[in-house]
Amino acid sequence: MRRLRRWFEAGVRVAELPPDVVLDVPRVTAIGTVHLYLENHRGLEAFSATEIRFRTATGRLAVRGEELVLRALDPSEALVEGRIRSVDWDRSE
Amino acid sequence: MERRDRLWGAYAEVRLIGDRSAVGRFLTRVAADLPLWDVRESEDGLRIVVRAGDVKKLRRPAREAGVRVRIVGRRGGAFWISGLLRRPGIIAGVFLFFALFAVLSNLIWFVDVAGVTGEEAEAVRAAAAALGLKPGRPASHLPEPAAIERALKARLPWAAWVGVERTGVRVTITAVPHTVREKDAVPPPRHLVADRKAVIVDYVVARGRPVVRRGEVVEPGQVLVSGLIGPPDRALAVAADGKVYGEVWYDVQVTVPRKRALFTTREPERLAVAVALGGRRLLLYGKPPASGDVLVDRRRWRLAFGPWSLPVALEIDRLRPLARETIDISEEAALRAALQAARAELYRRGRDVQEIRAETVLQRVIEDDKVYVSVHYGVVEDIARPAPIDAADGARPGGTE
Repeated sequence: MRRLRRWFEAGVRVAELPPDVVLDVPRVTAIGTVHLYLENHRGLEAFSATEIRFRTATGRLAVRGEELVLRALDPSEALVEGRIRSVDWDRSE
Repeated sequence: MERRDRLWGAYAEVRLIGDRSAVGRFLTRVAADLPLWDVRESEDGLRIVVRAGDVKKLRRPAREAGVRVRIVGRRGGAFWISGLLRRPGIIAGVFLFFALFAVLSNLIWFVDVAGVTGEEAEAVRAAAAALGLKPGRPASHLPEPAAIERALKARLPWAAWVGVERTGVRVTITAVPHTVREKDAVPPPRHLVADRKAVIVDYVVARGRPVVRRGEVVEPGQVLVSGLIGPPDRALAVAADGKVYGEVWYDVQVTVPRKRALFTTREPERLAVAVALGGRRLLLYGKPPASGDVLVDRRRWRLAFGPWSLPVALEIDRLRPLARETIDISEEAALRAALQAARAELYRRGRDVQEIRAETVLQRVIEDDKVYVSVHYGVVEDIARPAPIDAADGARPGGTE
C-alpha cells in the first residue's frame, strides 16, 4: 500500500498535475506573517492564542505565534489571523 | 466567510466555559460539523461566533464535553433589522412615507399646454380648469382622456383637435387651431414700363395688355404692358404681370494686372521638436518658426502619470517656409482674362441677362504691368418694371399705341 502511494506520487510529479487537487493533501497559503489560509484540513486539534494545531492528511500542522484568532473555520478550510511565528509539520502519518 | 457576510444573516457570539481540555474537545467536535468564525481567547475563556440557527446544535456536544455555553452577543444585519422593527416610530414612518408617496403621485402636478401659445394657451388652461383638470387635483377623479378631449373641444370652438395625455403627474393638452388660409394678397393695379432704353425682342404677358411690338425702340418709363384692359371708356384696372425682353447695351471697362503675386512652397519642410510646459515651449531640435512659416502639422504627446495627465507635452511640428513670388502673365492670357472679367462684370451689372447678342472690343491697351479693355455688349434682358397707373392714364390707356 505504501509502495503504491509512492508510485502514485511520483506519477503526479511527472505528469505535473496540481498535487493538492490530486493527492488530497493540504494547501497552506500565507500572506506575510499576518494571515494563514489552510485548505483541506482534517479537523482542529487544539486552539489557544499562541498555538493552533490542525490534523491533515500529511500529518499535524502547528501554527505558533501571538494573538492568534481563527477568523473562519469550517470542516475543510481555516483562516488564521495574528502574529504568526512558525508553521511546523509533524509527519507522523 | 468574511466580515462582509455578517451584514446579512444572523450570528451569535458564544462564550465557552469549562476547563481547557474540555473546551478543546468540544471545539474539535463542533468544528467538524459547523462553520465557526472569530475563534479567540479572551480573559474569561474562549469565544466563538456561530450562525444563530446553529446555537441549538451546540447544546449536545457541550453537555457531552462538560462545557457550558453562554450567548454573549448577537451580530449580523438580521438582528439590526429586527431591532428596527421593534421600534414603532420607524415602522410608522416607513408606512407614512409610502402612503404619502402614493397619495402625492396620484395628484396632477403639472398641466402643460402644447400646440398653442399666449392667449389661446391660457384659454385652454382655463377650459381645462373648469373641467377640474388643474394642478392639485387627484388624477383618479378625472374622467377618461377621451371624454376630457370632447369636453375641451366643445369649449374651444377655434380648436380643430384637442389631445389629452397623462404621463405620471403631468398632463399635456395639445390643441391644434383651425388654420384659416389667408387670401392671396391682391397687388394694386399697375402698368409694366421700360426700365431703360431698349429694342423689344419678345414678351410674355400673364396679365394686362401688351402695347409694344417686337423690334420697337422704347424709352425709359414708356408703358410696355398696360394695366388697363377693356374699352377705353369702361377700362378695368388690373396689375399687369409678365416679362418683356429687350436688347440693351452695356459698355464695360476692366483692367487686369499682368503680374501675379503668389505664395510658393518650393523649400522643403522642416521639423521642430519642443517640450511644452504650460504656456512655454522649450525647443529641443530645429529652428524657431519664422514669420513666413506655415505650420503643416503638430503632433502632441501629453505625459501622463497613471490617470493624471501632466501639463507637460512633447510637440513635433512640421513647418513649411513660404516664399512670395511674382509671375508674369503673357499678353494673350491677360487679354483672355480681361475678356472673362468683362463678362463677369456684365452679368453683375445686367438684370437677368438671357443672351449676349454682340460683344465688341472697343479699345485695348496693353501695358507692361496691366491690360485695359473696353467692351460693348448687346444683351437681351427683362426690361419691365412695375409702375402705378396715373389718374391721367385712365383717360387714354395704352401709352404709345
